[in-house]
Amino acid sequence: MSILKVRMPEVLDQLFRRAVSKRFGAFKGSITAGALAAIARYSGVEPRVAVMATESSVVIDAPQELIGGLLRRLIIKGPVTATARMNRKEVEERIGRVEVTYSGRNYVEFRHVAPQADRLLKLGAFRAEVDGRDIVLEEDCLTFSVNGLGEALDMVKGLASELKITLPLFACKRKLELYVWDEPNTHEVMAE
Amino acid sequence: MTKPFVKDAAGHFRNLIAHSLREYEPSQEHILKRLIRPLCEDISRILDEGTAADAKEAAELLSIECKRIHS
Repeated sequence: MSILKVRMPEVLDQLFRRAVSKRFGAFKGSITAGALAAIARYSGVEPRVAVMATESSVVIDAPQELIGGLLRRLIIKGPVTATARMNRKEVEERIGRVEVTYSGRNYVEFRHVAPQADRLLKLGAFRAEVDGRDIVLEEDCLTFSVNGLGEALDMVKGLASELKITLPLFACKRKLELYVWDEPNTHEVMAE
Repeated sequence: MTKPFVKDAAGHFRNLIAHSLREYEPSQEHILKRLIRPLCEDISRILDEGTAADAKEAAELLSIECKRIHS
């Protein structure tokens, strides 16, 4: 499937947003939810939340509070090994005492006893090894390695319930994608 | 023992590939800021702080990710 993205003048953009807004467009019933999703996709409007779950990973682009909610549900059994592009002092200012295992120029690898992985969000960007899983965070972009599609879907299910979205998990055999837009207010789920 | 910045490079490369498999493309800004720039920093660190063996290992880890695309 091809995706068309277009650049439009600001005035036209405002007219478009008015036409697809809940208050002026969808609320009046002049546009369906499916059409809204199609417009959001094809106009290139950036989704607020984009999630992809496969048998090897979960990729989430979302505001940090949603990513934090997902990481909070992780139960960490042992210490976390993580890297950050900052020095030890900066790391400790954000998350507390750490045991440094490697340090380079403006770079550190450390071990940290974190009861919940969301504490690491304060670093802004990190790569962490948690109970054999690899977590990479760059601001609002999280990638999490998983052991199988079932584990990936469990994680996404929790996130979707926070967004009050029901996922067709029974239809998912290989990959699931979820996109949520604010303007227009709509979402789309794709299951393979 | 694999150096942490070599593992970082593999992780960021894997992240880049994962985003490319999505139905809806992330924005150019997202690709540049969250995916490409961190990988560029990893490559610089491998060149600055790593050994020839680290560089070879990084290439091998990236190659494993490349093979996953075709499998």
